[in-house]
Amino acid sequence: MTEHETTNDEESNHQHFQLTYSLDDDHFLRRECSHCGLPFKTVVDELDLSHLLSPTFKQIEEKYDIVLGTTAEDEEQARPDQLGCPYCGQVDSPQNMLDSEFSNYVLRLLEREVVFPHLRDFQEQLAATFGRRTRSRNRGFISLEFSFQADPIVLPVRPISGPALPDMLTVSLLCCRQKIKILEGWMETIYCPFCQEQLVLT
Amino acid sequence: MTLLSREQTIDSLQRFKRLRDAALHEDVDQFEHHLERVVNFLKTDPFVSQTLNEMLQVSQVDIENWWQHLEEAAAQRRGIAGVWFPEDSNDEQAMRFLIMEQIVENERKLFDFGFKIGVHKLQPAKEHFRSVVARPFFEELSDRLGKAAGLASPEARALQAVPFDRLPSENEVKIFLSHKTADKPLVRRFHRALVELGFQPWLDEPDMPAGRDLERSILQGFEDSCAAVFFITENFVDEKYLATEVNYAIRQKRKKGEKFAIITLVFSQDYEIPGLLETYVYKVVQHELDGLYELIRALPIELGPVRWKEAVVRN
Repeated sequence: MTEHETTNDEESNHQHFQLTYSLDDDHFLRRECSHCGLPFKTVVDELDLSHLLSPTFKQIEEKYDIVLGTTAEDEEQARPDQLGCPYCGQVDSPQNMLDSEFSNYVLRLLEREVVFPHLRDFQEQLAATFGRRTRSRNRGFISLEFSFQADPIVLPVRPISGPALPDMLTVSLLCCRQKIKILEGWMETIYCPFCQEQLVLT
Repeated sequence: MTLLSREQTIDSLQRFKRLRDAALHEDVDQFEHHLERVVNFLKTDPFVSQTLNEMLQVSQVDIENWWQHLEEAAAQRRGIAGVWFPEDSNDEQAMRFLIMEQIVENERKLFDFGFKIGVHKLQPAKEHFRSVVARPFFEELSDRLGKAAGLASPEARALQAVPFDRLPSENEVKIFLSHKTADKPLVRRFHRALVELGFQPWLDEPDMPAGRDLERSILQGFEDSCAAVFFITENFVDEKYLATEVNYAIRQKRKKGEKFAIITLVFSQDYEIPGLLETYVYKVVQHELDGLYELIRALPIELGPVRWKEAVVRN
C-alpha cells in the first residue's frame, strides 16, 4: 500500500520524499488510453514509476528550485518512450497513458509534500518581514504600521493509494512475450502496446 | 459471509475509493456531507460492510473513554500529539469508525474535537480531524479491503493474443496418419493420444465419409493437413500403396513449405526407409511414447490455442 517518507536535509535545503503506488496483486498498473479513454493495465517496476513521473517532477523542480527524490538509475536505463492502446491502437507517451486516479494521487501528494510546505515557508517569511510594527525615528519621515496575521497552514491530507481493483483479464502477448490486462468481455482484436502488432484473442 | 460476484466486489471498491477520496480531499467546507456519505456507504455496502463488521464485532471499545482521554490530554496541553487510540488494531479501527459515526450524528462534536486539541476554529478542526482520525482509518481499511478483494476475486482465466500470421485456418491443421491396415491398432492409439492433446489427426476410418471415393478422400485429407505421419513397421512393405501417399505428401510439402511436415516414424532400425522418404526427416523410435514425442516435436503447429510456431512464420 501507500508509503511516504519525507525527510528534510537542512544543509542542502533539499526535500526528498518517496512515493509508492498501489498496484494489483500481479504488479499491474492501471492505465487509460489518452485517445479512446478505455482502461488497461501493464506491468511496471520502480524505475517505470520514476520514468512516468519524471516530466511532472522536472516541472516542479524547476519551479520551486528543489530536488525531488529521483533515482540515478532512471537516467541510465532507457525506457520505452511510446505505449500503444490495446483497443484503438493509438500510440502516445507512457506518461499520457495514466488514469485519473494515478494523476490525482500524484497531484495530491505533490501538493502536500511540495506546494504547501513552500506556501508555509512563504507565509513565515511574510510574517517575519511585515508582521511587526515599524516606526520612523526621524521627524519629517512618514510613519507606517504593518501587521500580518493568518491562520497557520494545515497540510492537506496525504492521499491514499489503492486498493487496486482486481479486475480485467490477463493477456499473454505472443509477439513481445509480455503480459497486459484488458477489459473483460472485449471480444475484438487487440493491438500490442509495445510493438503495435494487431493480435487475435484466443 | 455473503459470497459476492467479482463485478459486485469491483463496483464496491470503486465506490469506496470515490467516497473516501471525497471525504479526505474535497473542499473542507463540505466535509460533513462527504463524511456522512462514506460512513453510510461503509455500513450498507455488502462487500465493505463485511470487512467493517469483522472489526467491529471483535472490538470492545468505549467511545466516551476516547473523548475523556482527549480532554485529559488537552488539560495537559499535549495538543494533537496527545490524541490517543487503542493499541489493538481492530479496536483502533473500530474506535475511529465510531467517532466518525458520532460526528455524522452530531456535527457539534467537530467543535468539541477542535476545542479539545486546541484548535478553536471549525475549518482547521475539520482538517485536523481528517488527518488524525479519518485518514488512518481509511488507509487501514483500504489495505484490508484490498486483501479481501484479492481473496474474493481469484485470478480470472488468462487469454493469449496471437499475431494474425500465426493463426492457421481450421482446414489446414489436420495431421494425416498414413499407415497399413495391419498397423491400425498402433495408429489408433496415436490417433486417440493426439485428439486428447487437442490436435486433429486424420485417419481414414473415422474421417472418411461413407461412400466417398477413397483416393479423393485421402487427397482431401492431405489438403487439410499440416503434416503427414508415416508409420514404418514390419507391415509396411507395399511400396506401391506407400508411393501414392508419399507423393501426395511431397506435393503438399512443396505447396505449403514450412507449414507442412513429413514425419516418418521408424519403429526399428531393421526396417528400411522407403526411398522417397529418405530425403525427409525421420526418426527411429524406441517405443510408442517416444514416437509420439518425436511426432509432436516435428509438427509445425503447437498446443494450446492452435498457432504456427514462431520459427515457421518468422523465417
